Amino acid sequence: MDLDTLLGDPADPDTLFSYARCAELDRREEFPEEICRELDRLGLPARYVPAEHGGTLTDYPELLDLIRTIARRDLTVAVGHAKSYLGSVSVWVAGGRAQAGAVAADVIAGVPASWGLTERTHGSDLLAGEVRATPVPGGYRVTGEKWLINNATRGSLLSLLARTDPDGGPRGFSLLLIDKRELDGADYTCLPKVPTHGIRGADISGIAFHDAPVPESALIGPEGGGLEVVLKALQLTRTICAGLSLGAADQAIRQAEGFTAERRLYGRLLSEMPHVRRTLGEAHAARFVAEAVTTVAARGIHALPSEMSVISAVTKAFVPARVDELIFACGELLGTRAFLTEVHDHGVFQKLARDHRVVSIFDGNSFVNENALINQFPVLARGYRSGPADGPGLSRLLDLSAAVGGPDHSGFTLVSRGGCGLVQGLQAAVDGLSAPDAERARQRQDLGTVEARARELLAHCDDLHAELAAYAPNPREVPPEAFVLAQRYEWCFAGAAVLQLWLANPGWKDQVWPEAALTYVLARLGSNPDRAIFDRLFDETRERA
Amino acid sequence: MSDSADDLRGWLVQRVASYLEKDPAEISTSVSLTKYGLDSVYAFVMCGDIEDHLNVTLEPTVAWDYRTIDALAEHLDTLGGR
Amino acid sequence: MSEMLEKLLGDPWDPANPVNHAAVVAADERQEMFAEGERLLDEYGLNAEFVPVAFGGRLTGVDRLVRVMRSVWRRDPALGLGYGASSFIASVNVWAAGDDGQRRAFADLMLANRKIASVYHELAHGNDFARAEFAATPGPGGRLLLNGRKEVVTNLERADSMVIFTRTSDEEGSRSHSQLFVHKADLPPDRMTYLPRFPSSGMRGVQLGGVVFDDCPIPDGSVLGTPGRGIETALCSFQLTRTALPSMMVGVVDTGLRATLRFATARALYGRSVAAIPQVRSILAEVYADLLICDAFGTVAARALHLLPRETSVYASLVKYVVSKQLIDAMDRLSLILGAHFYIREGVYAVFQKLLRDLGVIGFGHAARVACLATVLPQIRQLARRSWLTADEPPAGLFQIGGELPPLDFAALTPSAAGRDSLSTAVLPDAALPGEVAVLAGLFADELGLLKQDAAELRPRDLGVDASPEALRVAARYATVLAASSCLNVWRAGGGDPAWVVAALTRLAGQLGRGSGRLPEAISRRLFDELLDRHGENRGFDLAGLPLPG
Ligand SMILES: Cc1cc2nc3c(=O)[nH]c(=O)nc-3n(C[C@H](O)[C@H](O)[C@H](O)COP(=O)(O)OP(=O)(O)OC[C@H]3O[C@@H](n4cnc5c(N)ncnc54)[C@H](O)[C@@H]3O)c2cc1C
Ligand SMILES: Cc1cc2nc3c(=O)[nH]c(=O)nc-3n(C[C@H](O)[C@H](O)[C@H](O)COP(=O)(O)OP(=O)(O)OC[C@H]3O[C@@H](n4cnc5c(N)ncnc54)[C@H](O)[C@@H]3O)c2cc1C
Repeated sequence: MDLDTLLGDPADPDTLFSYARCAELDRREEFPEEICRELDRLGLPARYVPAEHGGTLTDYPELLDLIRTIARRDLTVAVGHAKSYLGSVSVWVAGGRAQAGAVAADVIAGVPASWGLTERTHGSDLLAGEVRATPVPGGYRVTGEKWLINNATRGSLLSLLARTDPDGGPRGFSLLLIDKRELDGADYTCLPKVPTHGIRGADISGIAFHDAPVPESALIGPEGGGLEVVLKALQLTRTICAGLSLGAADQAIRQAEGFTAERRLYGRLLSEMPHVRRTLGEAHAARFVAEAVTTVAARGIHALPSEMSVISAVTKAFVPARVDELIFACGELLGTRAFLTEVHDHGVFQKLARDHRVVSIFDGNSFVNENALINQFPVLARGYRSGPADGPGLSRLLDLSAAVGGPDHSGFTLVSRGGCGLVQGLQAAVDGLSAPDAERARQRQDLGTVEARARELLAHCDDLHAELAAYAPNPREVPPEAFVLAQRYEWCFAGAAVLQLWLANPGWKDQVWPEAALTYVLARLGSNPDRAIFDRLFDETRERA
Repeated sequence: MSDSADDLRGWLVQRVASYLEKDPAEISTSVSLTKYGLDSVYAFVMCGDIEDHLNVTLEPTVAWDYRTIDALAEHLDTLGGR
Repeated sequence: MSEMLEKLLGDPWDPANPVNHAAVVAADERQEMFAEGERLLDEYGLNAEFVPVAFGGRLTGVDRLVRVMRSVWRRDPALGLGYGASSFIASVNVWAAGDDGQRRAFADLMLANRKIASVYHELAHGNDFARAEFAATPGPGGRLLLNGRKEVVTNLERADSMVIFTRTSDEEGSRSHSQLFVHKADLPPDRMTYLPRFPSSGMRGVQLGGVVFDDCPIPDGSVLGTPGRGIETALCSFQLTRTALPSMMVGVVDTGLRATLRFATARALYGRSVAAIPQVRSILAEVYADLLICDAFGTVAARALHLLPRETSVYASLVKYVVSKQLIDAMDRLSLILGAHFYIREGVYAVFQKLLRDLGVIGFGHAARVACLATVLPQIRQLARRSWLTADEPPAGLFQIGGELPPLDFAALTPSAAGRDSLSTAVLPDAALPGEVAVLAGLFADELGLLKQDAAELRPRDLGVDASPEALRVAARYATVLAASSCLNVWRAGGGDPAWVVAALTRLAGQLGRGSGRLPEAISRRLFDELLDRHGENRGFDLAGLPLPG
C-alpha cells in the first residue's frame, strides 16, 4: 500500500495524521511527536538510509515522492521528520563503512539526526564559522554554538561543521558526527526553541558545546574536508527540498480547486469564471514544470551525479520560488479563506503558505544557489557548444521507464566539468523534432505547438549562452546582472527539462502539458505566448478529476 | 407611446442581445435587465452606449432605476434627447 | 499633524519605548489589540482624522489622512485597521449618504473615541455584496426588523454602533439595498447574538466578529439616505476606502524596508556588510522605487477625490489593484534578504514577519484585486473613446504633494466615471522633459494608444463578470499607465533629481513587458544612496520624506 493510504484520510479528524490535528499542533506550537512516531512505525526512516548500509533507499525519485506525500499533508511534519535524512546524508557521502553502518542502525531505529552548519552571526558564510574542534589526542574538543538548527534539541545525532584549523579557509573545517548520548550533560546546552513564522511546531533551536570531547572516529571524511563534504551533501538535500515544495503545491492547488468548484458568486461557480480557470490552469502548468525540474534532479543523482552541482542549484533556486508564486495565485482565489484559520478546511492554506516560505530560505537561499550557478558560467558556456558530456547518462536520466541504478553517493563534484547535459542537449532535441522520423510519427500524437515553442526556447537559450560566454566572472563583486542571467538559466533549464522528458517518454502526457509548460516558461523568458493553452490544461485536469 | 420610443426599444433590444450574445428575438422588453444577468456595474456599459447613441448625458445609474427595456425606452423618450 | 502623532508614539526601534515594535509583536502573539497603542491613539484623538472639519474633526484632505494613518500602520497594522481604518470605512457611508443628524451623531461618537463597525460582509457572498441576504423588512408596527448574519467584521463586538449593509427590498436589481446606522444601545438585547471570534493568520489582534439578528427592531430613521440607494452609496464610499487603505499600507513597507536596511547594514557576511552585496543593494533600490510608485499613485488618487471626484470610481479601484500587489511583492523580496531573520518571531526583526502577515489583507480585504479590475471593465470602452489620448489636462493641483485642497464633496462622487479620465493622457511626454524621462514616458503613451485599440475591440461579455483574462489584462495595463502618469506628473510638479521617476517608470514599464524592469546601474546607485541617507537621517521613505522620531 502506498504511504498516503497507510496514513489514512487526512480530512477525517480521527485520523492520526489529519489536517485538524496538524492545525491544532500549529496553534499550540507543538512538535508532531505522535505523527512522527507513526512515520517511524511505517518504516520511513529506513527510506533515508542507502541499501548498502542496511536501509531501503535505492531510488531518489521514490524518496522525493515520499517527502512530497508527507509535505502535502503537512510541512511541519515533513521538515521535522526528513531532517534525519539531512542529518545523516554527510555520512552517506563521505563516511567510512563502519561509521555509516552505525549511523544507519540508529536512523532506522528512529533516532533523530540533525545538521549543524549555521551560526547565529554568520548565516550563509560557512567559512566564517566559529565553532571549533580542537585536535587533542584521540579526538577533538568542541566549543561554540550552532543556532537555528532543526531538531537540535530533539536530535541525538548531529552532523557538525566545525573549524579544525584556527586559520580556517576551505580546508580548515571538518565535519564531525556528534552523538549527544555519549556526551556528559555539562558538555553541551540545547538552546531554547525559536518561535517561527511557519512550521511553528518544528524544533528549531540550537546547541552550544562547552569543550565537549569527541572521539576521532566521529570525523566524517578527512580532517579539513568538511566544507567539501557539506557542499556535496547539499546537492542531495537541495534536491530533497523540492519535494517539500511539490507537496505544498499539491495542497495549494487542491485547496483552490476545491473552493472554486463549490463557491458561487454572481450566480455562477467561481470555477466557471474565465480568470479562475486561467489561474488554475497556469498553476497546473507551474507545478508540472516544477515537477519536471525535480524529476531531472532526482534522477540526476543517479544518472549524472557529476552534474549535480548545477542541477541541484537550479532546483533549489527555482522550484521553491515558483511554488511561492503558485501559492500566492491560489491564495488570491481563496480570498479571506486563505487568511482565516478556522473557517475553511482547518486553515490548511494559511498554514502551508507560512510553512512553505522556509523552503526558499534554508539549505542555501536562492542567492547562494544562484551564486553557485554564476561561478559555473564558464563551464556552462563552454559545454553548450559541445553538447551533453555524458549522452548515455542523459538518456538514462530522461527515460522514465529505465531503471536508474543505485545512487553512488561518492560521485558528486564541486564543479560540473561537463556543464549541464540537459541544457546542452536542447539543440539536439529540437533538431530531432523536425527530423523525418517514422518511428516518432507512429508513436506520438500530434506535436501541436510544441515544436514552435521549443524553437523559441532554443533561441532564448542560444542568446543566453552567448551572454554567459561574454560574462567575465568577478567572484567578489557579483553584479546584479549576473543574477538575472542565472535566473534566465533556471528558466531555460526548466524548459529543457519539460521538453526532453516529454520527448523521451511517449505516451506519458498528451501534448497540452508541454505546450502549457513551455508557454509558462517562455512568458517568463520575455516572449509573449498565447496563454489560452492554460484554459485547455484546466479543462483537461477537470476531465481527469 | 411615440415612434421614437419604439425605435429606441428596438435599438435597446439589439444592444442587450449583443451584451448577452443572444438572438434579439429572445429578449423580452418587459423583463428586468437584472434577470438577464446584467448586474449593477454592467449597467454602466449600457449607459455609455445609450449616451453615445443619443448624444445625451445620463445618470450612470439610469438602468438601475428603469429596469426593463420598456421602462428605459419610455424614460429616454421623455428626455427627448434626439 | 503626522509629526505630532509620530512624536507621541515615539521611536518604534527604541527598546525603552513602551509602544515599540517588540510591544506590538507581543500583542500580536497574544492575539490582542495593542492596548498601550490604543490608549495613545485615544489620547491623540485619532478618530478626529475621519471627521470632516465641518463636524468638528480634522479631516481636510484624504492625502493628509493617509499620511497620518501611515504613522499608525508603519507600527502596527492591527491598530491601523482595528483602531482606525474600520471606523473610517464605516464613516464614509455616513458622509456620503447620511443626513445632518446622522452625521452629527457619527461625529460625536468618533470624537468620543468610540468604535463604529462597518458591517457588510457575509461569508456566503463575499465580494458579491449585491446578493447579500441580510435583510431589513418592515415589521408589524412599520419598524424595520433585521434578520440574517454578518461575518468576519472588524470590531463588531466592541463597537458602540454599526453601519450595516442590508437588503431592503426583495426585488432583484440595484435599488434594493440600503445602509443602516444603528446604535447597539437602541436594540433589544435578546435579538442580536454574537458569533465566536474568527481567528486569522495575520491581523491577529484585530477582533473579527460575527452577528446573527433575529427579528431585531431598529429605530426609525436608521436608514442612511434614500432607502434603496445602498449599492450606489457603497460604490461611492468605496472610492475613498479603496484609495486610502492601500495607500496607508505604504507605511508597512516603510518599516519592512527599514528593518531590512538595519539588518543589511548590521549583518556581516564574507567579511563585509550584507548591504555591500551588489545584488542586495539593487533589490533594496527597486523596492524603494516600488514604494514611491505606490505613494505617487495613491496620493494622486487621493487628491483626485477632491479635485476630480467624478473620475475616481476608476482611479480608486486601480490604486487598490496596483498598490496591493506592489506592496506584497516588496515585502516578499525583502523577506528573502532577511532570510532566517524574517522567519523567526523573536529578536530585533520579529516585527517584519508580523507586518508581512498583516499586509496579506491588502490583497483580498474589502474587495478582491480582480474584483477591482472588474469594476473598471464596464467603463473601459467609454474611457477609451472619450478620454484616452484626448482628455484635457487635469488641474495642476492634482500633482502638488501637500498642496491645499478643496473640501471633499461627497455628492460629487458617482458610481461611474462615464468616460472621464484626465490622468492617463497626462502621461504624454512633452518637449520640456529630459531625454531619459521623455523616452520612458513615450512608452506609456504608446501603451495607451494600444490600449485604446484593445479596449475598442473588447467583446460585450468581456466587460462583465465573465471577462476573459485578456480583458482583465487590459484593465491592469491601464492601471499601470495611470500609475506611471502619477509618478511622471508628481515629478514634473515637484522637480528635483529625476532619478526616482526614471526608476519608477522603468519598473512600471517592465510590468508591461517593455524592458526587464531592472534599474540601470547609475539609477540604482542613486536610489540606494538616497535610501541610506534617509535611513541614516531617520526620514520616511515616501515622497514627503518627513523626519521620524528617534
Ligand atoms: C526554520 C529554519 C530551520 C533551519 N534549520 C537549519 C538546520 O537544520 N541546520 C542549519 O545548519 N541551518 C539551518 N537553518 C539556517 C539556514 O540554513 C540559514 O537561513 C541559511 O544558512 C542562510 O542564512 P541566513 O538566512 O541567516 O541569511 P544570511 O546568510 O545572513 O544572508 C542574508 C542575505 O544576504 C544575501 N546573501 C547572502 N549570501 C549571498 C550571496 N552569496 N550572494 C548574494 N547575496 C547573498 C541574501 O540576500 C541573504 O538573504 C534554518 C533556518 C530556518 C529559518
Ligand atoms: C482582517 C479582516 C478584516 C475584515 N473586516 C471587515 C469589516 O470590518 N467589515 C466587513 O464587512 N468585512 C470585513 N472583512 C471581510 C472582507 O471584506 C471580505 O473578506 C472581502 O469582502 C472578500 O470576500 P471573500 O474573501 O469572501 O471573497 P470571495 O468573494 O469569496 O472571493 C473569492 C475570490 O473570487 C474571485 N472574485 C471575487 N469577485 C470577483 C469578480 N468580480 N470578478 C472576478 N473574480 C472575482 C477572486 O479571486 C476572489 O479572491 C474583513 C476581513 C478580514 C480578513
